[in-house]
Amino acid sequence: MLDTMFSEDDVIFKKELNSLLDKLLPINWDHYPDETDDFHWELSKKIKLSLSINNWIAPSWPKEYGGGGKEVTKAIILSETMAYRMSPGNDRFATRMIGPTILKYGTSLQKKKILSEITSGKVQWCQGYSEPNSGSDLASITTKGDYNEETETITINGTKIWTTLANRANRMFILVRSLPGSKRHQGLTFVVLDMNNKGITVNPIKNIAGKFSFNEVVLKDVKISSENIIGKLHEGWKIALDLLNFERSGIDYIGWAERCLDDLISYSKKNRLNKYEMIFDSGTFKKSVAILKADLESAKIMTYKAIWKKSVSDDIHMEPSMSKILATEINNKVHDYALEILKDKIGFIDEDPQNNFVQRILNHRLFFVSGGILAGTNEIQKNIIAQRGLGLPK
Amino acid sequence: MNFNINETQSMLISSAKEVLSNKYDLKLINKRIDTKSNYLPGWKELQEQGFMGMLAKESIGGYGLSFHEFSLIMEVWGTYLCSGPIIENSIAGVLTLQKYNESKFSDILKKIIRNQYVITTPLSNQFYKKGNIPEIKKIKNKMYISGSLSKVPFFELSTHIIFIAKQNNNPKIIILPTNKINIEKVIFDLLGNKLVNIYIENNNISDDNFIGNDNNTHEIIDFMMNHMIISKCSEMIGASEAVLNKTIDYIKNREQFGRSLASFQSIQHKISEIFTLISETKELSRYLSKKINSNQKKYSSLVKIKCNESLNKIIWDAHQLHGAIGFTWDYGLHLYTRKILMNKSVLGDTEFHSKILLS
Repeated sequence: MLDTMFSEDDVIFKKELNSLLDKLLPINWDHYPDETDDFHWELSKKIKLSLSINNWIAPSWPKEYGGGGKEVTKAIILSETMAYRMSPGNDRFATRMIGPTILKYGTSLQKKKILSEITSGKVQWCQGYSEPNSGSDLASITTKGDYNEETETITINGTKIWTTLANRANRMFILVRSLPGSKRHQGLTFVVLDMNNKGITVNPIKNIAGKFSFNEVVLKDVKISSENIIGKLHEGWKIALDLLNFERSGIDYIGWAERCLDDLISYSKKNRLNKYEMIFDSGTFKKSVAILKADLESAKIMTYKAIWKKSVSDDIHMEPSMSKILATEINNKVHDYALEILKDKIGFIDEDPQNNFVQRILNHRLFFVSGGILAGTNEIQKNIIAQRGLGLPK
Repeated sequence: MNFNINETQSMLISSAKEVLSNKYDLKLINKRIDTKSNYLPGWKELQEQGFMGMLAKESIGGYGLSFHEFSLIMEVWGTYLCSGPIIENSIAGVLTLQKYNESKFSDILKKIIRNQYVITTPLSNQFYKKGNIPEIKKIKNKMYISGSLSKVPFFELSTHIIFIAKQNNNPKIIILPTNKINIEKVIFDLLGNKLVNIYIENNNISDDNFIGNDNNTHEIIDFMMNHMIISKCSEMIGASEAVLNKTIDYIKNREQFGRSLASFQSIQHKISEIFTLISETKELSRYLSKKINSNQKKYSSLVKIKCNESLNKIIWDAHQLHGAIGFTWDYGLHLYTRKILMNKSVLGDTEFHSKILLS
């Protein structure tokens, strides 16, 4: 319904992207992209390379860095469509977090090196923010980044946790405490590093969906040169927060939610509620789905707004927080309703779970527990809205 | 893609706020419910400022505003709990007559703009509650119309009424002067606004009373309904923003346990939820107000469902945040609650619009 927001050129881009995905994804592909799975990972690499050939990995970045040089609407379409198609190969850590951050804060050398590498489709990034016991309190970081003025190097020691795809990634952006004895958001430095550096150990952690999507990353005497500092030494906090605003649009959740709702409607047209009527013909079903659709469209417009606003202004406080909450919550609501409709079919482990709608919805719902937690919990987002947005006291 | 409001639109909103903000009085609205007075905050003020011609083309003396801009003013209208046939007059009147029969109704259009004529319509009640359709009969080359219409808003203020009738079971849209129509019954809505049931008895009509032709009646009805729905939603959104502001003021100033209520995290979370719900609803409604026409029933249904469900939630949360003071008659929070509750079923409830959305 919000397609009318896009130009004719955008619509053509979406068609071409879908055609490319038709060619690259296996027929009837409906698996959540799980790049820890070997098949998904190989597919992800293949898709990234194909996107790269078309300059589509980062369609709105400048052409000089391998971007498409197009409007931000192309980036919205790319993320939403790939999520809807459940396609692997959309490295959000690269294109929606570190990339825009480098564009804003990086030196010309960093831009050339890091952005061009991302758009080549040959790297996978991960995010080194969370630490054991730090929970939602990002400023409580203890991982040390000791700076040596003589050698102009930083030596990193500490542990990061809940690091999605660290077991696949070859690059990481990380926040470290570089000023000994500093407190909270003072004395932090934002750096990027090569995961092939000596001293990095990745320990996968099994999640509730039975997958190894996130990890513990232990960094022991990892040495990197000062060329890898983004912005200034000891002044990484602002950059780290700004990156989160890039991260928090929630656009993927919109794509996943819409796919789930569309698939649920298809299911309801093929399956009976009772011997007299199809699920779809029930008034209660229609009403529930219509309410979900209305919530989904309004959440979608908020994610568009957050991305658009970030692309035109730095004066942005609440939009990413609101869109992150709305997108993750509607995705959960849609999956919850699907589970309610599937009722008694839930509760059994299917022999071939990848080919089963019921198992897919269940696995996804389990996986999407993470949505309300990652990138700053939804409760933290509500604090941001209340305090930074509405001016309520801290 | 652009989510900004332009400078002209900002000025328009400011000017509507200036006109309307000093004119409403919660005590008088409370009194209207108690005494059935004719207090209509905002109505005369907008008339005097020439707002009846908002949607009319400049060539016939109007402002030439877009429907999107009109919907922005409707938000302000809702914020100040204004009353009067603004939607009926502007949509069923100006917008529809101008689009479908401008030359035929040019005199009526000019008189609406000059505040000499006022239009009302019971379209909502006719469309969503089937029945209540007067019948046109031809007797010796003359046409007569008879039948009942219920819940007509602001009838006594109006000079003309626009409604659906039928002729040989085909729907027709009729405009009729109100002076020869009898009031059968008076009822009051939740906010004390007067509505009437009327009976039209063998009123002689001619081709001059027909809006549209045999081929476009359904299109015109959809056109009117879609625009009226979005307008009503904008009004609801405006009312909900007033609720938000009232609640923020209250929690900032109210102290409990030696500190401001606004400093408690549970309160902050609740107000963030209210703010987020209103923001998304407003963004959706504003965007679709730019796209609405006669053939986008799904757009208006989507917005109405969103408003019905989300804004209903925020009013109860606002009451909870206000505590006992919000439970009192004099404080006036209940007026917004009544407005939102009332509008939930006006122009179609969620169940009705669900069927359209999933059709």
